[in-house]
Amino acid sequence: MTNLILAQCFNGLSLGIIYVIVAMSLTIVWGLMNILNFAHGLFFGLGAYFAYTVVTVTGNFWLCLIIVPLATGLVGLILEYSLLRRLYGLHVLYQILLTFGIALVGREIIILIYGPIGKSFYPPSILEGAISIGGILFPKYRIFLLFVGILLIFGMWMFLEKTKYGSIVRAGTEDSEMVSCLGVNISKVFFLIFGLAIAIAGFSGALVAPIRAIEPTMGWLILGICFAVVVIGGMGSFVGAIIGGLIAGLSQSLVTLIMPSASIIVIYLAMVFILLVKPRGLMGIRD
Amino acid sequence: MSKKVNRRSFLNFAVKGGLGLMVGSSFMAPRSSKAANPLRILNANTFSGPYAEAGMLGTRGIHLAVDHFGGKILGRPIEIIDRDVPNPAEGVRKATEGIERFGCEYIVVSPSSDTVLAVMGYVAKAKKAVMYAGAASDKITGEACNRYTFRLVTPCWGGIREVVPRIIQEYKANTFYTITPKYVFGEDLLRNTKEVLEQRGKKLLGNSYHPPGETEYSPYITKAMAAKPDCVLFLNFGGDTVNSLKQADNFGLKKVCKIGVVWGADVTQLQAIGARVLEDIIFGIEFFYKIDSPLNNKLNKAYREKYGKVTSFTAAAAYAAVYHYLEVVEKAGTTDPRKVIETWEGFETEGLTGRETWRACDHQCIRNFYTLKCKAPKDMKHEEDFADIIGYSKHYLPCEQTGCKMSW
Repeated sequence: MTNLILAQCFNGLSLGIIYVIVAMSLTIVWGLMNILNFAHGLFFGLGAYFAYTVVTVTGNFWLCLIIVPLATGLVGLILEYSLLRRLYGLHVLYQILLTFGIALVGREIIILIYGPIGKSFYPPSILEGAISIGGILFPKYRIFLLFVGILLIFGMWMFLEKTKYGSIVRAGTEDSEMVSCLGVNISKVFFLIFGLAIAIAGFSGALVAPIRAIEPTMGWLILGICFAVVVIGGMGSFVGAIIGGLIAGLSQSLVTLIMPSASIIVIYLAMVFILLVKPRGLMGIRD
Repeated sequence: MSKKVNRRSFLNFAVKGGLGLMVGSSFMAPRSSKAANPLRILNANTFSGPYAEAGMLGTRGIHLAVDHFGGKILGRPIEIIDRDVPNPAEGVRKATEGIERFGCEYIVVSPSSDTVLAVMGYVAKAKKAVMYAGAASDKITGEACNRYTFRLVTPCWGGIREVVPRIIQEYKANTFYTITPKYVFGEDLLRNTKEVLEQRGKKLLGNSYHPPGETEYSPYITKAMAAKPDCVLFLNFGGDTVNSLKQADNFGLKKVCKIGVVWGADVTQLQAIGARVLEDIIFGIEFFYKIDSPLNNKLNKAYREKYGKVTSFTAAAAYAAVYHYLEVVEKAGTTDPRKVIETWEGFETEGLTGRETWRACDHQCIRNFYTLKCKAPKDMKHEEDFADIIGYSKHYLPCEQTGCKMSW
């Protein structure tokens, strides 16, 4: 039983890392730009489809990890420039309507281009199989996923904490109007940060593509969970997204041991609990 | 200040209004006057969301069946009306629209058992159309059966009794672990699997339920591996099977035990999983394009010519649903629901799996269910040559045990 619990903890961490990556990009957009992006899951799915395309054409998985974030980031920049920036300052309902509409249209475009039938590709041979440690099996690909996720999170933390641009983003998360008054071109900040966030979402889709079915609705399934993660961790909080994501992954994995049907519900129950006890989230920023 | 109505404004309004009525009425099909109107068939399937593939493939099959009858029956042109039914409530709404607004006389509903059961209830009350149930829950020809519904696909009871004994025999397995989706269909598969394993003295070491639409299977696979069975049986379906098998491969499950999938969806599912993951896995399946029968060979040829692919089960089932209905209508000489039903009961025909009979007591088509064994990628002769048929048989509950009681 101890081995099973340890194995589930590892599974929970590798699952949680995916939630962290998607949620941290969502929380940056939400916290900085005040945009409730219901299309975020679409870019996760788009990343998976782009990865499938790159791997099918080139046969090179490593190349797709470079190309996919650039491609999805570019899509994000085009959307921000052409559509999203018209919503800044407007009521949140307009954002929900537009981003939800983008998500629906995006899904149908994916079906038109790739078809409704699922796609598949495999991890590179060096990452196939599992390693046994103390009788517990650790799939090599999930170890890789954990490692890449941690590197990405560290990279984002360094960007936010140690760079001038990161400090602008953090300041903008607290008060974008003041940042604008201080002479920073806030439109340009929004433009680039949105592109970065979408690139990260696409990258996470490429990471999970070898171990999941690549199908048109894959983004919807993760979106709900990542919204819950952002609420648990605190809107706009980078550290909150990490804590929330890991809580979600671990709870989903461990609850499966006791009651599998409640494995997803427990994440939403945690969200409800946090909303009642600490509405700003665990690491939410006070007004 | 009110606008005065003068001759000019009146004529303006009348012309615009008349044009509007003409355009509007062209979107509304007239109530059926059978002598003048086409035979309308409602194709109620999923055209959006995770099961969008079913709608696309089913539509292909239906159109091919209509083509094979020359687009007409009893001198009436055949018209297909496509409607998206992503859930039971939409299913009933669209069925109501199909019957009351368009005068549809035949309804083809799939793929969800929940949606099929909901529409069955409506159709039995409406008594104006015959329905084809494209789902496998035992209830459809069991306690929920009705006189207006016919089913082609093998119910869970029969399919499990072909594939699970075949898996036991092929793998020489004595202990099993099951991974099951928690909904009507999954529960039916599990119940039947347990019965068969018990009858054969095999042990079920454990079961993991998962929510339908689950994307993360690591906890269930880890539990299955911890139980150390000879074989893990996946009782899920469609996208759930694709996700779970890919992740099982990632965990190296095949290196420690055998894998069986009791209810494969379609050749398109095999495509989504990929040949490398599929190698040596045994699948139970309703239909495979390699079945050698006159009707299947005819369908295969037409499908390949039109779509450049082998026939999928979803397309084949929809084809058979409409093809056999048209055969029955031709034999009955009418589309009157009661007469069609009476003709269809006990109807014997050359179906996709060979000689098939539509049983009168529960309207279930008696046909074969198949077991496939998947090939190694190097043994595939073409890109869709994923598996060979290793067995098939017919298993159906005797009429008195189905729980089906039908009346008008």
